[in-house]
Amino acid sequence: MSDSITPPSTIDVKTPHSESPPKFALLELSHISKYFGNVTALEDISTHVDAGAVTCVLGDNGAGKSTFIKILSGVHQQSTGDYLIDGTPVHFSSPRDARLAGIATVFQDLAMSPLLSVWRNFFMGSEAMVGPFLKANFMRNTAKSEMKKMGIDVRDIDQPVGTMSGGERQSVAIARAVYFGARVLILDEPTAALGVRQSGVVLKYVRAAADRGLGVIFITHNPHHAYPVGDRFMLLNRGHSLGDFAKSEITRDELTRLMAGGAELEALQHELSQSR
Amino acid sequence: MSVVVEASDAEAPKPIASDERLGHRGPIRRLLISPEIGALTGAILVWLLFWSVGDQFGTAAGFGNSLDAAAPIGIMAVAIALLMIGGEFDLSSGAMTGASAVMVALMTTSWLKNGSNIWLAVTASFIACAGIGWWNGTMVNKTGLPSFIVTLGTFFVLKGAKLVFAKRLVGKVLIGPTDKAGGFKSLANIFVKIRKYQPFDGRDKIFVVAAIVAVAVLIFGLLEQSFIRRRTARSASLPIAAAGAAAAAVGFIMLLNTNGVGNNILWATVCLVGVIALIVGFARWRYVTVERTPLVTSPEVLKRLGIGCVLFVLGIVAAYVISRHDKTVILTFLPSGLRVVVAIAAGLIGAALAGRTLVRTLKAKFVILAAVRGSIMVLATALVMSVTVLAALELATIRALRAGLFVSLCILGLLRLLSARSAALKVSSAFGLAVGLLTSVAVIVFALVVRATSHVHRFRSGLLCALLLGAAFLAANAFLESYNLKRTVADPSADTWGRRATIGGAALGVSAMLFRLLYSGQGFRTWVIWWIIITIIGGIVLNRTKVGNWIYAVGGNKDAARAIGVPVDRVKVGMFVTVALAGWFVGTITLLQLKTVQASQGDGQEFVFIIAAVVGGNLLTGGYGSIIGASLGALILAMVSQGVPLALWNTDGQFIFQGALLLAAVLVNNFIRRKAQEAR
Repeated sequence: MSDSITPPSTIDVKTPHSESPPKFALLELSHISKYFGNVTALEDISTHVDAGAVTCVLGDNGAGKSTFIKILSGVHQQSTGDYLIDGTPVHFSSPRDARLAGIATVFQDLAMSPLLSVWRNFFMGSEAMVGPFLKANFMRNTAKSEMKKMGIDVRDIDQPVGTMSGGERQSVAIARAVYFGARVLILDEPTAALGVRQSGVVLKYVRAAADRGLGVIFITHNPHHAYPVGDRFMLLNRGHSLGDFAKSEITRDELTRLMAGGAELEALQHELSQSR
Repeated sequence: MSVVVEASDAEAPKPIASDERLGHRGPIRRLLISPEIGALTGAILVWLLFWSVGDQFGTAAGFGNSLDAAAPIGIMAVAIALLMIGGEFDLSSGAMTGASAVMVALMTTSWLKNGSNIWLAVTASFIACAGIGWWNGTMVNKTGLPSFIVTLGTFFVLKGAKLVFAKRLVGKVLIGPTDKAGGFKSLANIFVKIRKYQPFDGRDKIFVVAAIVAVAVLIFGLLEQSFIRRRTARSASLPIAAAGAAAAAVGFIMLLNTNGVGNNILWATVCLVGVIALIVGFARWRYVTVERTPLVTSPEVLKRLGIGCVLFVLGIVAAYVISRHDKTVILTFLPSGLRVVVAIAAGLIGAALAGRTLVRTLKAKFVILAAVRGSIMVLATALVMSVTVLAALELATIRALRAGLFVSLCILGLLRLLSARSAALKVSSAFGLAVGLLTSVAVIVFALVVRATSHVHRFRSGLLCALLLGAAFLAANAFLESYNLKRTVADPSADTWGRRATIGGAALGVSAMLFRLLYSGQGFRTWVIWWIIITIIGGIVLNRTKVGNWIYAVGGNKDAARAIGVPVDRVKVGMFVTVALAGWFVGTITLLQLKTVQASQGDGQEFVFIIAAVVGGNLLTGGYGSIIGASLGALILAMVSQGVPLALWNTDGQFIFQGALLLAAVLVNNFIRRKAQEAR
């Protein structure tokens, strides 16, 4: 049944989206679709991210953002379409493969172990060792200085991560990904649970990560967070792409309007003003 | 020393701990927010309780017995603590210890009857236990069921299997004896032989020297972490220190070489005063001193001081006015049923009042000292409570009332004085010193009154020594705090060296005590040594290795750990196998000790292990805890099980004790953990 839904045209398309053969984008998705049985989660999605740039993926709840992230981070595999890194198609069978290829994903709520200290969280799963033992002081110093490079000044590297604010926690995860050699950083709604100020802090770190040469894919539902930091914007709606724009091609207002469903929002506004 | 300091400076451009926003945490404060603190205080309090009510408990033999009883619980508690920090639970661990013992016993008595070797059986049961642990872990991983359910199932399977196999193979539930099996002796030598070393002449000298060095290093470490080092040493204070050292030495030598109560007290006083002078002189020489302020008092502090003195004097009056020989039972006029009700109600009201005051104080502002003081307050109330409960049990005589009144009034008075002291220090340093010295005088008076009116030997000697040491500590502290400036910011090199000295001194002191115990002529089983080794290994694995970090990570946030590349499933299986192998170990050594084993051996013990781990500060939800704490928890439980019979209380009462201990420990640990996190 799923086969009947698959558009045959997408299989044939092999040319990368951006037409610059000598220099490939760091990460590129070309006409990606994903089907779960007869459910279409994503349909014909294309975008790319360059080193040192931020690509924002915007979408409301149910737009397919989670599926999108899972394909990028190797949890799921796309049904059709191409996933290219440096212009070569890749196939990740597990999150580990993606990580080894330099693609680090920072999930909104499952990035940290709240009762563990900052440095233990920072090196979790990639501990620095001397023989069988941890190099605790090295890890403390490194975590502290790496965080400082991102512009985060941690008071006490031994404090439990749970005592930090949500924004700081996100930034620990970002700094960690950067330190461990990530080339592409995927951020899953890093500002969703944060207040205005904290969001600003995280956006600063998103930009800082890009300025250090990483390609950042910033997934959010908030165009006001996306616009200031993004170089490229891809909008998702019900599994379909509403367009993939460079920053020069779109204004903040257009972005907001597209994101909110354009005419629908105006209708709603009208309706509300009527009923008042 | 200086070389290392420079090296660490060169390594990091900005020393790591010297963040100006980070308030300096003194050594005491750091200790108070560590996960072990609940278990450590608990161990000391329980020891004190049984020391004061039981005759044999406080002796080296009594402590040796407690260690013997603690070892099997402790070995399991270490493994269970690892598992709990990893966020899982094992209800089959108790049955597992039994299963291991039953397997070995059945194999040696039934299957391998002729020429059977216990080493073979032990190896086979090792493999079987590892298999059961692997099964537990794999089931938890594959099914995603809570480990509570999975291991509960394993528990009942093991419980049934033990009985079925025992009845089928040997026809009864008592299996053994197994000591005829080949290799039994050699195995027993390694694990359960009673080690008894004959005392030798020099042991006390070695002990004393080690203890003095340990205390000196410890005090140096504490000073180093608490006070600000001077740029240039102030040599004017050196003569004070030198005179103090001389006085301490003379006092100590004379104390050893003279006899008689009067002489002992005289030379002990000289020695203690010398030590105080030495410490104060040293501190004035090495650390920044405060500018002297004139003696200013404040009415608020004076009020506290007055209340403290009145309470204290009332306590002493009670000690002398009420007869200490009168064994008449109070409350005989009430029928016994009513007496129980009255006693319990009185106790509950007392505890509730004290607890409420404590919570209110701490809610307003969390001050560690206030917390400690408040806890002692609750303790004093508990004392009154126990007197009333004893009344219900017809044990409350006039003399018990006297003891209760004396002790609780004096303790309450002292607490008032202590709070007055810390308040006075804020007013002026001279006032702080005066109130501080008054407090230590009060402690000395208390000690002398106890000595003069008590007919129990250990109160007359042991308590006197402890109280005099406490008074000396208070006096030295009063001098230090009013002369020297407390550090409020971190100083990496001083903190590093201070911490090393503190830990080193404490370790040396504990080793000296163990050494003294080892050569006291009292025996203990070899498994105590195994327990200590396993605790140390467990602690190192948890805090210093990759696997330990993974265990924390898995317990703290499983999904995050998995997302970041920690092999969560493997860690979990490993933890369950570790617990199962600890069960194998404990089962084997229990069998070696008992020689015969019941098929129901170990059933229900899992809760004891879990209580030990929880009392030790391990969080039921994972991600936080302590191995040393778990071992201390085991020691507490063992002390309860040993102390209750020695105190001639109803032996079954120990379960009530353990249950209450569990609840109290969880509450205290949760509270401390929360506060520790906020306080940063």
